[in-house]
Amino acid sequence: MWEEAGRGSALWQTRRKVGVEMMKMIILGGFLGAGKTSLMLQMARYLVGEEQETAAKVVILENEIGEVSIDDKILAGRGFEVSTMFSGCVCCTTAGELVSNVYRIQETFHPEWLILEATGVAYPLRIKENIERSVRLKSGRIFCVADAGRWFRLRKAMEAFMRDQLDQADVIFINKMDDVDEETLKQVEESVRDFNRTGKCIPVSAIHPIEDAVWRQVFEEPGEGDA
Amino acid sequence: MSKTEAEKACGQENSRNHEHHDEHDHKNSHDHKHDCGHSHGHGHSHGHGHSHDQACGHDHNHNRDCSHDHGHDHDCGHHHDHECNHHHHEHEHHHTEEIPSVSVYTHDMAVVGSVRCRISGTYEAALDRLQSCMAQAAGAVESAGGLIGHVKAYAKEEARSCMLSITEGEDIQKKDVCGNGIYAESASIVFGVTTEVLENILREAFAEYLV
Repeated sequence: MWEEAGRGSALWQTRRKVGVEMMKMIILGGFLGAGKTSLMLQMARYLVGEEQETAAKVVILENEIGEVSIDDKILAGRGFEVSTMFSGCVCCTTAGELVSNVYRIQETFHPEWLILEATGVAYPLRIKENIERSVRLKSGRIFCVADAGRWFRLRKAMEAFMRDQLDQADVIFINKMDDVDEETLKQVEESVRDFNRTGKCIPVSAIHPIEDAVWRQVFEEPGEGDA
Repeated sequence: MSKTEAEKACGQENSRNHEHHDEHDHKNSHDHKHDCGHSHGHGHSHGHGHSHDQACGHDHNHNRDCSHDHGHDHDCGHHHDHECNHHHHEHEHHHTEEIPSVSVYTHDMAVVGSVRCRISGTYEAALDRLQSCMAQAAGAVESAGGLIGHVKAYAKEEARSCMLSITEGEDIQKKDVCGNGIYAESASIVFGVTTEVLENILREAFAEYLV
């Protein structure tokens, strides 16, 4: 592990030069109940594509806080092998553990993709920065999920938190679009834009199948999503 | 989030500390060093009894009494000896999942509550009861002025079982035992109430199944 070798040590530098197969990382953030897990299941299936036998093409790292974990049981029930880090948030309390686990995943499974589902109270940018300081990746992107139905209520109560969660997100899924009318959906998107002007805003309803065309739009950057 | 906002949302003076109020065994942490030069809980661990001062700029202190042994079952299947608040503990690295149990702690501005319990009855009836408990808890949080992040639960039907008995020759008596109930785990993450308030709410909502 990098930390065992000591950052900056000869061994660390050697390993950095030699490198391991670099993976692409997606950090999936968003507030509690926004629909991260539902969305992630569809995203993982899209990335795996037809190569179902390629078990390690996508690895999911699940982070939950609390004494009991729920989402990992749902994912495991859908046929995924899930590694869970819980009882601490990887953007802060278990940041070191996260780096170790990301590195271990890269070394052990050599996946093409790592999807890290953050807790609903995490700041994805911090997670990205923590990982990129220690682990060499092919790319690291932040996807955030916003709940269209609850957006304005949550923004009113926790504006600074919501802003920090969306900070520098590359893609913002405005989920539960079916819960609001078209005008409200437009207002939600404008409101989200107050916090993030550059990310792609994509309205979705993750309880229904998301079309491949949407995923292609998400992964359209060169070299990405060529699943 | 600014401190003011966090305190306001959490309803506690020092919301950046993690304070644990629980009644059951915890999974311990294994301190080790990382690049960043400080200790972190490691492995499939529930970090308690340690303090972090990390890049996020928050102090995360898990305060709890460590005057007792912690038996924990984790998947890694090995044994750890470690020191925790100057007490020596020997623990198995497994989840114990004591039932029934309630625990509440703060994470930054969030108040995190967990309930494990067994609810008797047929699967459908037990699920209805679980939903009632969750709805009661959620309603009580809002009535107390709090904001619900989520109230989730995972329910698993207790394994179907069968009693087999022979009292004479090859005549086997079989009695199916099914519909005993469900094993439920509920996770509540809320804002704007204290740990004490959430704990009381959860204990009241799940009272029937916490005895």
